[in-house]
Amino acid sequence: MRTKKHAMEIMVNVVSLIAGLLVVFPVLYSLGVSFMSASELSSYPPKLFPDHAIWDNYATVFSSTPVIRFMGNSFLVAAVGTLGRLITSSLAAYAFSYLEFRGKRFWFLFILATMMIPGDMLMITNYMTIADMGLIDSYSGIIAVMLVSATFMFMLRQHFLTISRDYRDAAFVDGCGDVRFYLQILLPMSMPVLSSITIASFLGLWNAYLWPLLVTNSESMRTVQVGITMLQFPEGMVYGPIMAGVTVILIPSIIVFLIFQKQLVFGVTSGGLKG
Amino acid sequence: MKKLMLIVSALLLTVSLAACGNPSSSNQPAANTSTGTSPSGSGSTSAEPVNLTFWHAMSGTNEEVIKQVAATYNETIGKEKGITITPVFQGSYGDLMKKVRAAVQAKDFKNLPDLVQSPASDVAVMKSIPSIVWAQDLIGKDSSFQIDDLEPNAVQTFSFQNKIVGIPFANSTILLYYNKSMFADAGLDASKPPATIAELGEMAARLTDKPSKQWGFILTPELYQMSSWIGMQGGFLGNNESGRADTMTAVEFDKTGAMKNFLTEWKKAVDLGGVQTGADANVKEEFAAGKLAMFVDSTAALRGVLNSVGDKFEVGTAFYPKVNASDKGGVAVGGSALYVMDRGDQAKIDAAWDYIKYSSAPETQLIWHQGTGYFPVNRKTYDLPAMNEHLEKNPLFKTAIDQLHSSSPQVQEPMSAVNNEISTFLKEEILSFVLNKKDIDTAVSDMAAKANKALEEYNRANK
Repeated sequence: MRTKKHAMEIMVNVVSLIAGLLVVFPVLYSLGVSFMSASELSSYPPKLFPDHAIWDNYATVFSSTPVIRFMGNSFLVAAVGTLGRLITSSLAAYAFSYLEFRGKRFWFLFILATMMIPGDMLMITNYMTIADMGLIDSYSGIIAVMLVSATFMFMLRQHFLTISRDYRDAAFVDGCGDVRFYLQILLPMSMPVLSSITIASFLGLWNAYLWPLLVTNSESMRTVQVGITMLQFPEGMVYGPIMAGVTVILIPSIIVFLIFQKQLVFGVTSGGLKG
Repeated sequence: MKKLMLIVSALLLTVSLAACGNPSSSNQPAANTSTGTSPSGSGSTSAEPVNLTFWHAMSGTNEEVIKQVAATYNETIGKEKGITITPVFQGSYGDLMKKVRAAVQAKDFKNLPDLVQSPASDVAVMKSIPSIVWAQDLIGKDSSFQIDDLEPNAVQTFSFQNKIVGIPFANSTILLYYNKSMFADAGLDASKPPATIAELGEMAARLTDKPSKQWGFILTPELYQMSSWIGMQGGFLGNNESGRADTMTAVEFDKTGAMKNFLTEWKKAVDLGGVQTGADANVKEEFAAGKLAMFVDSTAALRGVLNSVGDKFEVGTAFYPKVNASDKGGVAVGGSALYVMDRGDQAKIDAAWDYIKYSSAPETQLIWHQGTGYFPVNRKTYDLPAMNEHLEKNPLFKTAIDQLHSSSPQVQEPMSAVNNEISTFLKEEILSFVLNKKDIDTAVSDMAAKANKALEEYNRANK
């Protein structure tokens, strides 16, 4: 019995290890390529890591694009957008799960229905709206359409519904109002969900491509994904600088993930209703 | 029932809200009302400074050259005339086009650029955008501009009904690249690359070594290759001179027999066993790795290929192989042109035109050619001593230029807005014939029927 369990554990570990390697392989390879010269990259058989690491590709990234500026722009957009989404979706979710008002079901379905409209379809209409507001080529223009998210609202509402109403009743008996219950009890209890939303939203906004490209016209307003295409050569095959650029812009995403992943694990293990 | 009604009404409201964009017709530009009585040039130093925006799709080292050219202009002629140009990279040609279309649809003239770079394959789209000022109109008002100096092939590429829409900016054609060392190893004469598809097939067979995954030639022909292979035989790919005399409504390669000629030659070459077709291959990588002896690609790729090959082996360039040894047409010109956009300010149009003149001047084109590998669009460039020196040092570039000069201006990519679809149909049907899934007549008539249907549908929807 014990050995069987033991064998099972080894199996799970081996499978996890293989899956992990598969996932991390492209990242490792891009890291390897970022240190290779063009001629070494195209040698046969292909190499995973260079014989002599060179820093030229990184020098190209920093000299031919204002990558620091791009990262700053992306960080601002992703941070403000994520914060906005957290605020709007948690407040809306609160209303839809705890409050009673006329047309509640209708408005809930109404918001959900927006999830069915593909974002690409709204691109031009959104552009027209932003252009009418005179926000083209501004941070506000990029962020404005990112401040709300039906998906995250839905996730939070579903989560709020799993939290027993007893918490709210008990808090209200002790003299708590809606705002205080929301801020001091509900949100802390929802940390795992809020963390996963933060990670998903931040990564999504950090990697946004088409919308930031459409609404920004000047180089200084570019976000990282748009900026990184400046390193591409339409007719060539110079992967080194691109991979170096990708590696550089990957770092903030990893940092954000590491910070909020802790919360995620902590929340999962400490959450739940006890008694 | 009530629940259903609720869902339906919520959905309806969502859709109506989403669809209700705001097509308000604010600030329409004074479209072509200005009769252009005063083309700039004289005493414009007293005029207000003009700031131009130039959207382009050149990244990497090419972008650096664009910036350098613009900076030189701003410091010299621009300073004199009070014009400052700012080039901005807007992603790939496709992304750039999306941005232009979005701004045109939103009538957001404030955020349109004054100058746009667009590739040869998109002329049909560009000519249908109302905000584009046709270069023909600008040339008509400016006697100092000599259009005869420009490469006639490139001028024809960007012309519709003999009126030029955009001024050629960067030229390229298709070219054969080959590995001289591999030719020598296989006992072939490295100074005699294949001149026809038949020779290509024979040489490729001798250069192929399947156990070590080494191929003689890799290609899955699409519209890009076929524009030259059909055009060089003398006829046009589509009717109305491939869309340049009038809107293209049908293809012609099925009636002229040009496609059948090609298919016969191509299948013979493939059947010799040295040509890989139908598989996705990164030819430039394979070539640089010494696993591929020959491939065809744009001349603009030359610099990149030389860089990645390094000193591993010697690269050769040659004319694109002919279908029949007697073909005289040569190859189609690709590349890109600059277009002027009307934002409702005549001063900006004049300034943009001034920059176009500067960018197509012989000296500018020399800098552009040396920095990027695109050909000069101005024939006067070849009169410059520096150009001759450059070509002597880089004979590989000379092959490409000689090929262009021996090509007929009538050989062009078709001017249609459904080139991508046509390209897919050609690729699929050529493959199904070569892989013995269809006989030659069925393949030709199927690809023509599909292409004609796509053309018809587009033309009906965009009258």
